[in-house]
Amino acid sequence: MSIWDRKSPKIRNFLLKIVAAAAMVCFCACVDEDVARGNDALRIGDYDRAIANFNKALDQQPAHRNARYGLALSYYAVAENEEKLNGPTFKLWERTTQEFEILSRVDSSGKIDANYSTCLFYLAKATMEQHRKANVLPLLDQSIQLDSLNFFSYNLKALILARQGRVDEAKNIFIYVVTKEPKFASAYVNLGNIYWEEGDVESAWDIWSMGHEALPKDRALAHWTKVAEDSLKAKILSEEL
Amino acid sequence: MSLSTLDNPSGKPSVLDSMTDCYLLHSGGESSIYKVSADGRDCVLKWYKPGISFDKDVLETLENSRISNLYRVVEFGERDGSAYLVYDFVDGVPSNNLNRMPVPVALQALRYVAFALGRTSKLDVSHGDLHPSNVIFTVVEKDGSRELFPVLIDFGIVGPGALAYAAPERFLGKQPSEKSDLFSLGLLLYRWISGSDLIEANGYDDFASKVTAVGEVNISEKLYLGLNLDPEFISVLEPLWQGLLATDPENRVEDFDELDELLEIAIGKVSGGEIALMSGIQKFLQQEVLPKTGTKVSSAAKCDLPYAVCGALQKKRMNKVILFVILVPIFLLVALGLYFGTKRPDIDATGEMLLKQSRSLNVDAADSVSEPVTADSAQIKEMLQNLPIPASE
Repeated sequence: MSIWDRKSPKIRNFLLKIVAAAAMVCFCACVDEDVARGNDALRIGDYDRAIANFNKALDQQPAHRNARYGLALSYYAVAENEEKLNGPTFKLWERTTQEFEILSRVDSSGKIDANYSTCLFYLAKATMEQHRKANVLPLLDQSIQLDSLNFFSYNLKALILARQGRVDEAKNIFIYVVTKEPKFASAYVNLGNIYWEEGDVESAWDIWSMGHEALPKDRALAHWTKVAEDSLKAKILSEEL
Repeated sequence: MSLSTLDNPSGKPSVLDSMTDCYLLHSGGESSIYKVSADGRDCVLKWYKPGISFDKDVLETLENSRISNLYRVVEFGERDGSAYLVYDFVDGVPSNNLNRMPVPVALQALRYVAFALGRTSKLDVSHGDLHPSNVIFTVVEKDGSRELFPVLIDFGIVGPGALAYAAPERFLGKQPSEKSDLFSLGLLLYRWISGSDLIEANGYDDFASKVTAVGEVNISEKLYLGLNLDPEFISVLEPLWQGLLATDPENRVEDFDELDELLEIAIGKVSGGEIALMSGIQKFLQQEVLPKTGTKVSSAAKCDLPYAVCGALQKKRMNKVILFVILVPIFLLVALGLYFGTKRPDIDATGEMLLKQSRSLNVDAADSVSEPVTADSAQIKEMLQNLPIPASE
């Protein structure tokens, strides 16, 4: 009979618990260290190393929230980087969205929602780039639902609605955007465009000039304000003649 | 105020609890004298043997008064069953350590002491134990010159005091009085001039007997034959012996004011003028007082305080607690600062950083001006190209 066998069951269980607890502490510490390394790499733009470390942590603990969020953010950063380079991004955003979707199952705190919302906007945009007739409105609605301050998603949704002939809905969205975020130049331009297309040059001028006042350095708004002004002047002159 | 309630009666901290650096100066039958540091200044601690005490009323009066040529009482009371007295350390020479003085110097010194006693007398306080050890000769700087400044210590004795200097009525159990102090001053003057005690005896009764018969002693003859003193000085001193050393108190001078007058007259006769007097005093200080002045305490005399130092320990403990209370928050703040200062940002912070980078609107001028994307132009590609994206910057 070994010494181990001779020990009383109480002591044996106690020792086993201690060993298990120590192993658990070491295990958790290792996973956290992987996550921390991944985070460091992500912050300095070393995305491959970040993804490798987060994956390593997830191999140990697939439901590790921080590792999962780190991986989603790494994919997000890779895709957005490609976006700036005007490269093909659909696959990248699809991968990122999948990761956020998994993450949303382990994190309901709401802390990830803003990034998830932006990811969905990018996916919608990338989808349209790949399939012009694709219906991305559900993606944009989900994006807006996750983050009501994601005006990029509002803007794209309004453009799509306008293209579909749902002009009033589009107008309302643009008006909502410029009211909530007066520095969002594209919304002024796009709303003015709708009025311009309708032949309502005066309203178009109103919007563009309003945008120009809010963003005097924006060359598009300056240009279209000038175009509208010239048009209005020509109209007045022709009426006088 | 009873003595038992003197120990910290108001609840304020006792000076005993702040004492350090204790040196034994003298240990006698009734008390031990220590030199100590208390609150950054030198003091004398007189620690009485159990059962021996002092006249608390006298000390209470002196504690609240400021009289020139008198020691300053700091605190008195009882601790651990013993009475104690604390007063400012007087840096000088007890007059018993001095050789015989020139008559003008002795008269001038006596005048200072008489002045101080005259002031205490007006407060109904008599010394009761005047003898050479209780007059400290100090030197003070005044207007650039050194002056003699005797300081009288040790009031409030209970009992006859030093037998060789006690008045006859004190042997009869009478309380110290102005008259008994005047008698003692006469004996003190004799000691200063002659360098020896007028009354030398063995034991209480012998002293009592000889002091009662002091009127029969021919002091002038003793001074002339023993010391070869100038007959002119002897004749000047004669009225002082008659006025001070009369056995019957009624035959002594009326009070210290009268003594002051007698001394003034005598000094005028023996000094040869004010300048000669000052010169004589300066010479005496230079030769006798200054060489013996200065705190000369042997390191071997260093000792423990004679009372339980629980109060001091409590203070030390309190200091430790205060130190702890101050240092712990500082340590915690430093630790927190180090923790948060060196803390690696977590993944949520990274998420916020990426979001901020994505969502920042480029409010500066657009690089180019494209054609407006119209609703029915179906220029999807162009629309998407012109579409603002979060990472547009």
